[in-house]
Amino acid sequence: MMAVITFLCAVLCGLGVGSGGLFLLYLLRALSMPQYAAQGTNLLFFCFATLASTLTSLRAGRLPLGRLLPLLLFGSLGVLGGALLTLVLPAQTARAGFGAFMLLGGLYTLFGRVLAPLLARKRKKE
Amino acid sequence: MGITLSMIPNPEKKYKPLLPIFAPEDKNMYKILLYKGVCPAVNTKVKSPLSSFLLYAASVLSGALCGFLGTGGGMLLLFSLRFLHPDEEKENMAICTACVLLFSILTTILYKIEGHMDGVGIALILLPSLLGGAVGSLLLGRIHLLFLDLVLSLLLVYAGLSLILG
Repeated sequence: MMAVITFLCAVLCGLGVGSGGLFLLYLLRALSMPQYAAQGTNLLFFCFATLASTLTSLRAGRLPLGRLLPLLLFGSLGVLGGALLTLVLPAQTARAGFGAFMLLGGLYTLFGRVLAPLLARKRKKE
Repeated sequence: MGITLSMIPNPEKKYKPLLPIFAPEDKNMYKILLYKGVCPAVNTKVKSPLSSFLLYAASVLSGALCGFLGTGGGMLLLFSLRFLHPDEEKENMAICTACVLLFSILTTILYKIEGHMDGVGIALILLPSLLGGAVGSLLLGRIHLLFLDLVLSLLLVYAGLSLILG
């Protein structure tokens, strides 16, 4: 069962739909994993799921390194800060933060990627 | 930059300002920036120190989200990239995915050092996630994502609320 869920979430990830949250939710709710252990497993999932599409982009020449490298550098600093927070803050805080992140992500997807294109299409028809 | 007000359709019309906080080098540039989102030439060529700063700030925040919450933080980065480079969707997606990959690798290493990883699951998720990622990237652009986005967004809203309230 886990293999099937992992596969489906990875397909969504490859499509750029943003499914990492769903996989983490599955680990937390269905498998009752502890918060930080689930986050670690979710990160492994991300590593494997994004590897294929990154290699594809690299081969297709779609990765402008001049824009990518500064983002990686600055983002790595953020990663360090975020990972250090897990040592200081309790898992419940991360759980609530994750919930808020999912809620915002859901609202953004709903309004930005579903309703906005539908409204634009309707306006175009008019 | 070779961009003038004459390149903007109906310059007298009041368009929605994008970022009225740029530090322009000249007045014309300021006016043109306010029309960003209307003129394709402006969309792709205008670059200011502030837009770079915003992008770097978004990448720091994305990294921090990844480090703290164990999710990619890609949504925030992609949102920022789309905002600043609206005409380069393929590059935006590629940059975002590459960033998420590196952030995830780094965070995994840090979690291992911090003792958050229990070692369970690598064997279970390795093959399905590799295969699924490859299948997804092959399907990209071939299937209609609107319905998928709708289902996913409702699921995310429900899950987010249940995690916060429960």
